Amino acid sequence: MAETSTETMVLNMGPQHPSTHGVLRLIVEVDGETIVRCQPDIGFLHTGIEKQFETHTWQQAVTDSDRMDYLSPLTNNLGYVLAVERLLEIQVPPRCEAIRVLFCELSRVSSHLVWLGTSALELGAQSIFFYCFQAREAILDMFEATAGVRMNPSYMRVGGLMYDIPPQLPGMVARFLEELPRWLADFRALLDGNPIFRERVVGVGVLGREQALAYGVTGPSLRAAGVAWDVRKAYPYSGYERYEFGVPTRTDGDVWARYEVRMAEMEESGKIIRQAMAGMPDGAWKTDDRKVALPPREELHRSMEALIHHFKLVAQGFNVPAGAVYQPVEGPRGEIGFYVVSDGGAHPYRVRVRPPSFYNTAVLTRLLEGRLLADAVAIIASLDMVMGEVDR
Amino acid sequence: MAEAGSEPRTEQAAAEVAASAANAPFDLAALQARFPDVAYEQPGADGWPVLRVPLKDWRELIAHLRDAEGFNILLDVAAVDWLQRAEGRFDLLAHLRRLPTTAQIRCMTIVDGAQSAPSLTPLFESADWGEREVYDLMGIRFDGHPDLRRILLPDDWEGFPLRRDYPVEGPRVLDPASKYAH
Amino acid sequence: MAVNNGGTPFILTTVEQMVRWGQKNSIWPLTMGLACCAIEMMSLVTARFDSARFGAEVFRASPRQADLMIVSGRVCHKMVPVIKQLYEQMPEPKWVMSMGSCACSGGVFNNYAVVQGVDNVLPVDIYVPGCPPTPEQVLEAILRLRDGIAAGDPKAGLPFVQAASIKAARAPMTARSVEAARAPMTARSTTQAGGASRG
Repeated sequence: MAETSTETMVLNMGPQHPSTHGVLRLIVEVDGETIVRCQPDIGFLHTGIEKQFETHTWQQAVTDSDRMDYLSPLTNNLGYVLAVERLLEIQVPPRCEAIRVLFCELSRVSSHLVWLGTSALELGAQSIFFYCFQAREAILDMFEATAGVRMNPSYMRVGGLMYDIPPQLPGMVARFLEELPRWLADFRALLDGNPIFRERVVGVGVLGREQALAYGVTGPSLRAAGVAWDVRKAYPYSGYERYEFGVPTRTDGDVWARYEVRMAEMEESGKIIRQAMAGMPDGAWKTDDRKVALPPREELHRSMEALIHHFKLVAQGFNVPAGAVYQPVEGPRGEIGFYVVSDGGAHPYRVRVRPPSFYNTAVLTRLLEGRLLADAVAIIASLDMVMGEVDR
Repeated sequence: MAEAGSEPRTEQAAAEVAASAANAPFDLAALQARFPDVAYEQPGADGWPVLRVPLKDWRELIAHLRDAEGFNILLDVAAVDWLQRAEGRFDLLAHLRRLPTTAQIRCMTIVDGAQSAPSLTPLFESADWGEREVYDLMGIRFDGHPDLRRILLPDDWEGFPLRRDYPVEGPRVLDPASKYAH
Repeated sequence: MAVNNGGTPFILTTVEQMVRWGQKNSIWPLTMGLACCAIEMMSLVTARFDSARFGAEVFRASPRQADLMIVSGRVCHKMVPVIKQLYEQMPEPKWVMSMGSCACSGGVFNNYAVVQGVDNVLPVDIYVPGCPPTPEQVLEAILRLRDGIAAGDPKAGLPFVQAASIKAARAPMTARSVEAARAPMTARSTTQAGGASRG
């Protein structure tokens, strides 16, 4: 019998590869079909966003935060504006909080839909991709109706929002909530019992609890490993303590568990959206602190003071008291933390973003070892990294 | 739908947890007995208590927090450049949590320009990429890091972009010999 | 030109025109997503926008089978050698679409990491501004590119060497990125050759 060859081959996956979710590059050493070693190479989308924050005023910098996790831009907006609001010690009105929650959860669903569509596509289930993107269009339409753009809306502002929600939004949300369970049932019908899909995900890419913690993995991947940890529950922000929702958790830690957690999270997000819409308070949608928020348009015609505030805010921005805060929010991929440092000036001194995808990607080194090359596709997809956030 | 580990907390319970976490996330007396140079700061606006650690105690203190106090996740390693500060140029930070409780702690140390910091990689795997990024963008070296290379920028990049004295636009014209030049 | 001389109708054309007709109706983009714009590029093929109507839905993962490189997002220095290589691997004729403000001019990211416009690296045929551009805008760009191809734009699909010489003759960087940002949908193909053939 011929001896089995012990020679390994080094294979390069990415940065242009249909299954690496963007510009991730993996240098994998394979022995036949089995991965011996895997070295992720990142940075192909390094945009210098943390440096760019320092060049913008506090309010302008909201636009920088969108472009990190571009699948869920509003969650990034929220983390940043909450951090700055903490430094400024200002409160936003309840209506603003509810709208923020509403849009964060819509973002989460739209992000999970992209995850589901692309990961199913990579595992060969092409129709799911089309259904998911069609469902996502309903959410993008809401973003467009509210903020004017489909992606990267930069809708949140320090001290409030860009605008109030448009009158047609409640109807759009209601239609969406009506459709969502049906969509989710369709997706599950197409995937849950599909033997090919199950074969490729059940028991694959097991990420244990201890390993997940050691690598700093957060979000659905951590919850799939048995840790019921959600920033929205542990450190409620923007009024999340007022909503009733569960934290879906699984203990297997495999690709299937991560799939289940995200599917269940979409249902939970639906619940939050329903509650936010039903209990939407009336009233102001931004703070009336004139040092931060623009004065109402009609006052500009008669109040000199309002005009001066308007001019100063637009021309120079506002100063933020010196200090540093760390503000975590639960993004679709895990804990996005904004460590914002102010030196008392009109620009952020330093904004450090704790990127969940960055730490979730690091664990690939371990997850892929000993697995088949074909499993790599399923495992990468299940971690749902966004390279814009990994590389910033 | 079965949700094994979901624990919906009421508002009061959450507030209670937050308060207790703020007061006693760990045994401060035992910690200060072992590390007399460590200064403790009450939680600020964001609810994070801060430990100011001398650089020499950096790894041992975090090892103590992990082993004796059960802090099991290193969320992030970050650095802030203060350029002209007399005490030393960089703040090096580590955010730690004890999951699934709400206990959290921020450790800070000061690293001067020419100094290197002890690496946390023997304690937490997440420090591997975290410290590589700090090295890549801030230029702080870590002793004992197994693979201290640039992670985001090309290998032949010069300078550390997140330092305050690094121009935002960067070099713009790269060395023509570099394969990244255009 | 269709001719009917009383018997069987037949069509007269040149080989070149027929080739162009084929090219314009089967633009195969390269599966290369960079950043935010890549998600909108993915939306392009889905039911709502359906680029299959214009024969441009077949995204190819291999550059050797692709005609059109959609540079969808910010190009960072580390990515430069990669996209250069991908471009070189694409067979002639080939076209480059610069999708989004970042690819056109660096966009909001005027910083050390981002190449201030992909036209510093590749010869761009058509620019699509926006952050990110809507799929409709990208469809419009594809339509204009089709017109350019049909009109036989000599500049569409330059070999890389020639592109490098054009780059050397160009104005300094800042002026160029301002120009790129100001001229919405300015494509060499439409302004110089394809414009007249539209409609």
